[in-house]
Amino acid sequence: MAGVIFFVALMGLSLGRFGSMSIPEGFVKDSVTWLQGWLNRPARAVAGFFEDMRRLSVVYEENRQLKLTLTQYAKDTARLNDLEAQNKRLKEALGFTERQQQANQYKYRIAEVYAASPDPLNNTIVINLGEKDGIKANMAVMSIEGLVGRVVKVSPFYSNVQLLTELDSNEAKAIAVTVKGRENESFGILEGYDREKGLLIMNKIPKTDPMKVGDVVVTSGMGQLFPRGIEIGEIVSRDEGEFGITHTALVRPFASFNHLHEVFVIEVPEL
Amino acid sequence: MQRYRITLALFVLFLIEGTILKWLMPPMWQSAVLVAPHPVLMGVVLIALFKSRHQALGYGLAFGFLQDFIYYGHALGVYSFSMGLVGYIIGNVFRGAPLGIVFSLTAASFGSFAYDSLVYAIYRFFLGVVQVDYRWIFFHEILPSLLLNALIALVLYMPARKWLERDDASREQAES
Repeated sequence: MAGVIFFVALMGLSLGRFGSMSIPEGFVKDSVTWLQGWLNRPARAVAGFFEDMRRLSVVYEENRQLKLTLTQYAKDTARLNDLEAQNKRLKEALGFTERQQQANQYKYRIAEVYAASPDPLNNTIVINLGEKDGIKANMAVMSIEGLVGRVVKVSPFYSNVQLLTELDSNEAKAIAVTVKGRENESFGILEGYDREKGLLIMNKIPKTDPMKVGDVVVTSGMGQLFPRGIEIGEIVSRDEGEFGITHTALVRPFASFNHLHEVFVIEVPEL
Repeated sequence: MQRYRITLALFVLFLIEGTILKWLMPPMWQSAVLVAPHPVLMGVVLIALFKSRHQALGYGLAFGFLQDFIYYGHALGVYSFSMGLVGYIIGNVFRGAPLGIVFSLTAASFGSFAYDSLVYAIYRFFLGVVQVDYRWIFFHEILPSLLLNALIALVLYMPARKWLERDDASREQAES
């Protein structure tokens, strides 16, 4: 009985506490995660080897594709330089304030995934960047495919990342999003994850919003916490919400949430 | 001496649980169905069978708490509570049972089922962080996990029996 009371109190008190850990917490976590990282590398190498074997037949085709892409890339680079110069000129002409320029200089920090929670109801991964590397709670985390999650707990050398699949919990914070290409017209809030279908739920879309199925959803940066323009997923359906005042859409995330190798933590410079 | 060995073995299982097993399982098992391997829990169940329910309670609490710490997502204490309780209950229910492989696997399956259900119940009703209904979670997580965990228990059964029983026998000899 005393045990039950103790655990109820512990769970209640620790629910939704974000930020850095206390010293003993940090010490235990850092030392165990160090060992996990040490184990994870050979495991990944073995898994990677089998994957390579399977892919051997695909490599030839891939190589040809890559060569094609490379020429395309060279072309694009030239175009990019041109556009960049133009963009710079226009920006200066517009007289962007120092503040806005600052706000878009995000730093992408690459991090390795050292361990992942074995319980499917608690989708947390541990990465090898921590307080000493300047990581703070609430930073956005993405893979090359798209937004993956958010830093929730930081210890001196490692930190815990809560994946987007935990969005339907009460204490996870919602994410303000918009549609790529129409950043100023569309608006919505990602605040749920449907485990049964594997789709994210976007709420609070104005009725007059032009967004439609197939649009790419990106972060809007309105919360000032997440940078703007990170791709999240693609809209697969849209219908009237619970109360009929706003619309609700379902979004298929681009990123896969298992077998993550490396992720990027995005640092937003302090204003 | 044996206590250190058990702790070390469980710790190695814990390290494997979050790293290597994730990579060995095909991605399908982690998206279409959510298979959760619990080698540490299986270790605790075997301790409950071969040693005593009190030891299982202790190891369950300690390693559950480690898992709470390392994968701190929502709250502390969920896994610690569940693992300790499941270890204790298994030890109680199967106290007089013969230690054959059939009983052990039954205990392991029951342990996996009870543990996953308990974690789900805490997340759903007490903390409110999961919203899917039990039927879905039963068919997509609990049932496939149960099968995989029975397999893990089968792998662990022989070494566990050798270790834990031999020491018992030698102690009895020393006592008599």
